[in-house]
Amino acid sequence: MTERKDASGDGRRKGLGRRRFLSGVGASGLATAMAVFGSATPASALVAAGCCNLCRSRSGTFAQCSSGTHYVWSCSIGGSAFLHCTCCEHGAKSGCAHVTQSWYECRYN
Amino acid sequence: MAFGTVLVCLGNAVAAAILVNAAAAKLVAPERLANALRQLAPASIAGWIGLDGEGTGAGIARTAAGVEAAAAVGLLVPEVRVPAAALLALLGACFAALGVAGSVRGGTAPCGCFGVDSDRPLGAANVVAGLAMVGLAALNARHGLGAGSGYAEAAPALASILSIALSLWMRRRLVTRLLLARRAATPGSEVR
Amino acid sequence: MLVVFGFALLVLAVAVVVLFAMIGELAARVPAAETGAGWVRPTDEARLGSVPEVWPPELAHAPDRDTYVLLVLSTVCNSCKAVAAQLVDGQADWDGVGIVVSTASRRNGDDFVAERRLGGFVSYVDESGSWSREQLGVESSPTAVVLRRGRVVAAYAFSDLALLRSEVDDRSRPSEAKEAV
Repeated sequence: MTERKDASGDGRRKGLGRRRFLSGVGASGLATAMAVFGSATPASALVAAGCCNLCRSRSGTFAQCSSGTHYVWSCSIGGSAFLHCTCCEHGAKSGCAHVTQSWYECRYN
Repeated sequence: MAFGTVLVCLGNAVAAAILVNAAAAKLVAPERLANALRQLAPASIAGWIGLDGEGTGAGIARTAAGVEAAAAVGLLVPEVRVPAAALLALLGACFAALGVAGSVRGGTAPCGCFGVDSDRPLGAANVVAGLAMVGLAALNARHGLGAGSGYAEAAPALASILSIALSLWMRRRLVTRLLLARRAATPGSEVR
Repeated sequence: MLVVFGFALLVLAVAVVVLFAMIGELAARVPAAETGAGWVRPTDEARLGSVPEVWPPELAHAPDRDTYVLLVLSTVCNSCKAVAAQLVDGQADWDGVGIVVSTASRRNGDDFVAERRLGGFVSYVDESGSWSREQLGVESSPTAVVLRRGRVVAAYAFSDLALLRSEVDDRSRPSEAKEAV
């Protein structure tokens, strides 16, 4: 009797674990499908890169970023090695919605 | 080893190396992929799939890591190679779909596919990777391994070496930075 | 035997890859988390000895002050958030300080001031950073520019606002003639 109870209890735990794993897989697949067919949420995530706080992940070159409407500024963080970064946002007018390219470069000195 | 087996062995070893690195990165830093998924998830169902606020989505990222790790190991075991290839095809389809969504929406958050070193958002590269995975899965389904093919000996060893090599290559900036810092900070030494 | 060796190697490789991933993640977070003692160091970026030709209305009172410190922050500067927090939490009584927020747009700058609760301080939103660049010679943040009757006498890069303030107070003592005039 006891053995049977243990076996079924053990089976129930395994079943729950399997169910959670499968639901995770299912949710991932569903998220993928819905991402394609649903409507988008506004892009507002910021990217931390070195000491820069940028709208997009790094792409292109500095020359591209610093052409036309752009904002370039430097930042620094110290400690045992002094980190100095140049941050660039291209197209920045108001918030991140108009930023088409972000770029940064960091160096120690 | 027959040519077809060599091709499958190489392809699977490369895929396993990539999947192991991707799984490790998601395990260590699930919030990056979670962030990218939250950005793409439509508001209407975001809450239902657990992507409805700051810090959510880590569970999905970790599940993805688990699936990637399972596919990676499965590809290297002859007995479960074909089911693992099916899992690979499923992953490939998901990546391609997310890449399409990222391209269409113009997502900006880094995908976090390989952790801190992947600072590109979900996009075309993910579509290409996804389709390549589906192609490799098809190759696995089509090509059987003969007895004594040497696959079970060669594939895990090759995948191991490639995994470490890829991990080092992906962190080449960090290695460079650490080496530069050790050289008593040469002025103007660049790190990207 | 070879198969066992191959899988043992795979297990080791996976462990190494996970370790590298952890190291990579930790290294990426180090610049964002300033550890260790605060620091202040002079920077040669500013136009020492110069007097700005143009003053924005928000900073029009600065040339009348014996000592005035301008903190040049930026909306793209991650470490500037920490400086703003130090100002609000620890230096709220400092009345000889003004904040210049270099930013791409007026709206970004206004949002920065609101989000960082800097409304209680004198602040000027410097669109495109043009005033800081042209009048102070500063293009980096966080930078503190020390003014003596409107003249730039010192500039510092810093992480610790309390340290900076005490450095500025030390310099403003008449017995120590360290001004770069």
